[in-house]
Amino acid sequence: MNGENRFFLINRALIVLAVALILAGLFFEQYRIVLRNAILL
Amino acid sequence: MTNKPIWGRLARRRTIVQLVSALTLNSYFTQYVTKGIPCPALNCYACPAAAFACPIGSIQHFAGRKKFPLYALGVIGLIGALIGRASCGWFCPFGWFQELVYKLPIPKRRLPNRFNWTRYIVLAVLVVAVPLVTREPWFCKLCPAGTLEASIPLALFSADIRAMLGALYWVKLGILAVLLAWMSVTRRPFCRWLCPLGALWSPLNPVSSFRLRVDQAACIQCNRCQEVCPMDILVYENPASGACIRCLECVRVCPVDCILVQ
Repeated sequence: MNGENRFFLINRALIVLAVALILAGLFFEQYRIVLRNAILL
Repeated sequence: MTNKPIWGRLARRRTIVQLVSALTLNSYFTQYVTKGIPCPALNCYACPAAAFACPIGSIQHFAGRKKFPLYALGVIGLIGALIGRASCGWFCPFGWFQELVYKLPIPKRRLPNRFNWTRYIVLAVLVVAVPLVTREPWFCKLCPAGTLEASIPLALFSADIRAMLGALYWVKLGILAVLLAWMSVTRRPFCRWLCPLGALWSPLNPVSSFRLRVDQAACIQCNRCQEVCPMDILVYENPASGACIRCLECVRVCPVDCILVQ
């Protein structure tokens, strides 16, 4: 596998991981926790 | 894959993008919905006008509650995977503030990047470890961006807040004063040595979708790229540097157009 392909794969894996983290956070209502904390400051 | 005229022209408009970003991140009206979204920059969400959450503030809040910040880290990771530290160069109000202060007509000093790992210590200690133990967001309590955007305006406009000011306020002002002096003689010192958000994005820089590449065969190693780089990077040696904020100043000034945007 050449360098470009490796970069491409790592980049896409990171994007998928980040989206999975966001969805998991939303599932655990972390958006609401962040919003409540930010509004109360 | 690359188009120097377009990226060079875009780099010339960066100040406008930074101004629009600072206004958007602090646009007040949408805050009851958008303040639950971590913004792509270090922007204090204690500022009454802040429309988005600070990603570092959010991480500390979860650390204080002993919960893993899935959502905040996901947003930071997605931004980092897509554009690396370009947010620092294009969207961060405090980064822009440092660039404006650096324009003051006083003698300048270049400092080597040898010790720029200190931002990882700030991240590990003040953003994670101390809030975990004390349940208090200690980076926020000392953050110079927060002092500038929230503490000073709140103290100026509210007599109640002025009456509550204690020693911590003067410590914060002292930190900001030292940084003000530092940023007037050295480019972006907070971004280079202290910013924990930059520390989170730095490892993603080499593998982000938006990155720089140098055509080594065409490069004449004139060092113009380093002269204009706000992070003092020798671009032809390390175009994927973790410190690079993708401001594209190097692309704009390169005399042989060998720095390519991917």
